Amino acid sequence: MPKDARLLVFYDDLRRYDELSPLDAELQVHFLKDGTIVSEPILPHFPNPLLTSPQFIFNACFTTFETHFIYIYSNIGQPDSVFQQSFGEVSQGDTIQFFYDTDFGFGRDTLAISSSNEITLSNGLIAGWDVTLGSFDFCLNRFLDKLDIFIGVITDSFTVTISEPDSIWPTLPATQGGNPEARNVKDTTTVVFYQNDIPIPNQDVTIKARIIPGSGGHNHTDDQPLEDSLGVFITYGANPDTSQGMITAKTDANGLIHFSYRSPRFAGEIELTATTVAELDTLVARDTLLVEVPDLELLGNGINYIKIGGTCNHHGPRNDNLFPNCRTPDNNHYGIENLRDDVVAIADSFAVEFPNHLIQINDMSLPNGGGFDISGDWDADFDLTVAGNTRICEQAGNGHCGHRLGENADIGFRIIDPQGQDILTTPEQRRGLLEIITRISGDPFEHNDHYHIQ
Amino acid sequence: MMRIHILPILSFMLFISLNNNALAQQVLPFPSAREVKPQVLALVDKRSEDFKYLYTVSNGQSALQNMWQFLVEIRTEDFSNFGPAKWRPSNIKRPIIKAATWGSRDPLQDITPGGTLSGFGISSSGLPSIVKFFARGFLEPPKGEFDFIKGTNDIFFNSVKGFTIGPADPPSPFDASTFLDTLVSYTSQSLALLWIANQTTADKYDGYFSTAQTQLQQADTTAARSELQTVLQEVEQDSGSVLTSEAYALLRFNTEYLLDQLPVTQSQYSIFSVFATHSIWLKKNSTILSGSVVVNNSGAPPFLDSNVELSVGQKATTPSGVELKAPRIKVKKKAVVNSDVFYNQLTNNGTINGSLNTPLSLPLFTVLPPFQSAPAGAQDITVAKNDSIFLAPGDYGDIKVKKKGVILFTGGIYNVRSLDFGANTKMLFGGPSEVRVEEKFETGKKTYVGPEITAAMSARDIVFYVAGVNGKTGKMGASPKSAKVGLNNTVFANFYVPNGTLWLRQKSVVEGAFIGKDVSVGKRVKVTLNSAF
Repeated sequence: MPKDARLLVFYDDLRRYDELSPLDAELQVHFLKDGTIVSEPILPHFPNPLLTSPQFIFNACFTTFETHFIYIYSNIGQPDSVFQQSFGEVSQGDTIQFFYDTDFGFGRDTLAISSSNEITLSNGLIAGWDVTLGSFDFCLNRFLDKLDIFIGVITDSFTVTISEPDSIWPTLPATQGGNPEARNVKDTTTVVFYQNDIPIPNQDVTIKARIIPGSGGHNHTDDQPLEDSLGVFITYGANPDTSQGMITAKTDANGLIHFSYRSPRFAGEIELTATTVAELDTLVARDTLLVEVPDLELLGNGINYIKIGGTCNHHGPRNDNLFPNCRTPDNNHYGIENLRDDVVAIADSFAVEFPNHLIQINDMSLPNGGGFDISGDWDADFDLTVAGNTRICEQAGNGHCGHRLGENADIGFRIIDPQGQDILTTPEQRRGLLEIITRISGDPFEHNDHYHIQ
Repeated sequence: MMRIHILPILSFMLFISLNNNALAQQVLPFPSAREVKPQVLALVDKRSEDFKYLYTVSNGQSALQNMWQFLVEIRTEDFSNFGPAKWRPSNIKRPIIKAATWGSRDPLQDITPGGTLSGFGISSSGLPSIVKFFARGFLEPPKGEFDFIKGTNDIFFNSVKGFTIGPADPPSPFDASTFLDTLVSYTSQSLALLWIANQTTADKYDGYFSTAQTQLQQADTTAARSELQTVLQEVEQDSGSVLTSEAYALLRFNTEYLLDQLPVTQSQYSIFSVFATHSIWLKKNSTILSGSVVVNNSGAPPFLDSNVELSVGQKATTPSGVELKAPRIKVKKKAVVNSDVFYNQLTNNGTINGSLNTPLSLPLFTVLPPFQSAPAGAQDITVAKNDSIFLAPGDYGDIKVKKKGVILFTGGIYNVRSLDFGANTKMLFGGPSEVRVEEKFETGKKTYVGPEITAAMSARDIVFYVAGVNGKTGKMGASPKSAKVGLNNTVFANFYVPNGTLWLRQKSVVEGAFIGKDVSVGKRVKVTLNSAF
């Protein structure tokens, strides 16, 4: 039996003899499951009554011909002829009851089920029933009042599937190594749309990406990245489509949409959401993709350094009074093993030369790497070109571009002295720190208040 | 980060980067710290268990940067380094390279263009080897942030490189032949690096090493050792003239190490305490405490005694477990010969407790131990009574020491015309020595010949090669004898007197090996074997 089925009711046709349609009519659906009843009233809507010409109909009981007016109300082809209701899981043994009431006649005008037949799909599964509700006149040998409806149980299979492994690199500029072997592209991502195990072709599907708030160490949740920073979709088919942040595509004959997704420059958990409208219902499917620089781990606490630099945009430890509620988790001290080893080695060497002095480690990388927008505005880190054709990162004191790969760290000019005081390094200590850095990790950059090691 | 540790390929990678991607992206190497002009002078000192590597570093006049970092590659874990004032010694250990490092902590102590600074040093048990040095100019860290070719900010890339010597672990497992290949390589590299002044000198050492290698392949360790000993002698002579301190250290200390690894096999001569090519006389009451007594071949009279090649005097004794060999042997009354006796003709009036073996195939040896000789110098040395001097190795004329005088030979090779030490003198040696005497050797009574008391040496480390003949005619009876050890001497040394008589006078106590044309062991002389041959 299908799971998570949707119940569909199509009012195909209503015919009444010699009477107008009811002012008030109600189809009730009772879904009996595990001793409970879910009852849903349905108000029919027949917008286009049609009075046919008088018909002469033979009355077998009196062997006479009688004149009758027939009112036909048809919803065939009308979009609102479909009632949809999800009753959740439908299992074998469950009972669905239908009642049709009108205000005709004396009190209720309930039509009895006069006939029904199962509609089976080509694969043999029951897809629904054609049900006729009415009163049959044996003298006239026809229904006097008749309602034809179709009651369907639809099982949707609408999924987004990201192939394993479900992680890719953030997109990097060529100057930072680029994206060899398309490591920033998830090439086999698939949307599948089936109903009752039958592929549904030509179905419009919209697919969007978004960064899951709080993921990737980005604790700033107010603003999402710009649309063009949400990655790029590429669909495959007769008419390939490429778009940023969102695409709309149609399912193929197999009910499939294949597409690839290229990551943004930010890292974190990306949610890919596919939506489609089926029988007036909006179906949604999701999967998540981790965009990350692999092998980044948190720099542990050390005996010869402290970690600083946390903000409410990217939580982390500090040694001042700012942002007391944003100290955990430590999101700004992730790095590859080489960097972590180098930081420890630099601190240890400094402590050998200047015993009991602790260096201060500011930003490294976020937990998954990628863009480190220090201002929390999703673009401060980018390779934006400004006047003079100079990238922001190249301007003195600016830029965090180097912090995308877990290969860079900022080591402050201030240190903690043996008395625990936060002090500025002496010229000899500053030169010693620089010499140690060049020896262990290579020539650094110098920013306003720190060396940027790489 | 993402350092490139594989230095040999780094330049190649840089080339590739520049040609394929970097130029297109306008990505350049990191700003240069290579605007220095380093020159490094290295020497090695070994006065203890460890070597001390000492470096003097200069920055050429045309340099554009002050030098503030200096590194020397090392190939051992066992090292420590020290440096000049305000230069912090440390080290780098990467997966494929290790280096001792020094970094200036004071701009005033940087090596400016045209400047020189000494005091960089490494202590290590590692052997001298050819290694790289790296020197870096001071570079203000660039402000801001920009892309650059990865790896070009690495200290091993962004520095000026050259070659010097530094410590290395000896190969393990050790293979002498392979090690000799290394020495040959050191020789050729030293020539290329101008540490050896000319091709002739390089060829000379190459020849020694190649010969030693051939000898080792023929399992002739003794000959190989001898060849390597020659290298040690030669480097002492060439040092400072055609060998720089770098080449000297490479050749000397690696050769010494090789010698230490070669098994000291007993040469065929090493079991003889007294060996003569013509005749031997063990006089009355003389005692051979150890070692065999052998006359190599039958000769023509006159002999030292009794018309035989080997005469064992009254009450003389020889030990068991060794041999007496001579064409003709006479054992006099009350002599006790505990040794095995090999002869063609024997007259026994004493007691022979060893085995008797005859006939004896002659000569016993066709090749004798190599004799070392060299022209003497012109400088005569005279030590006054009760005076004492130090004498460095070199060439000298007649050396004369008057009563109670002392000479301390500091050790090495001495080429002299004659040695004449008076009574109660001391001939002390502070290091292994080879004394090549062109004419005569003589000591007075109660003279001491041997190691200085604090020197870790024994009799085998002191060898006298005496080339002179008896008197002026060279006849057996002529005086003075080629070499005469005086009465009551105490001697810890080896003697090789191939052209005359080696006379060990009575009551002397001698240890070593005593080779001569004729050897006379005086009354009550006691002889102990400790051969250098």
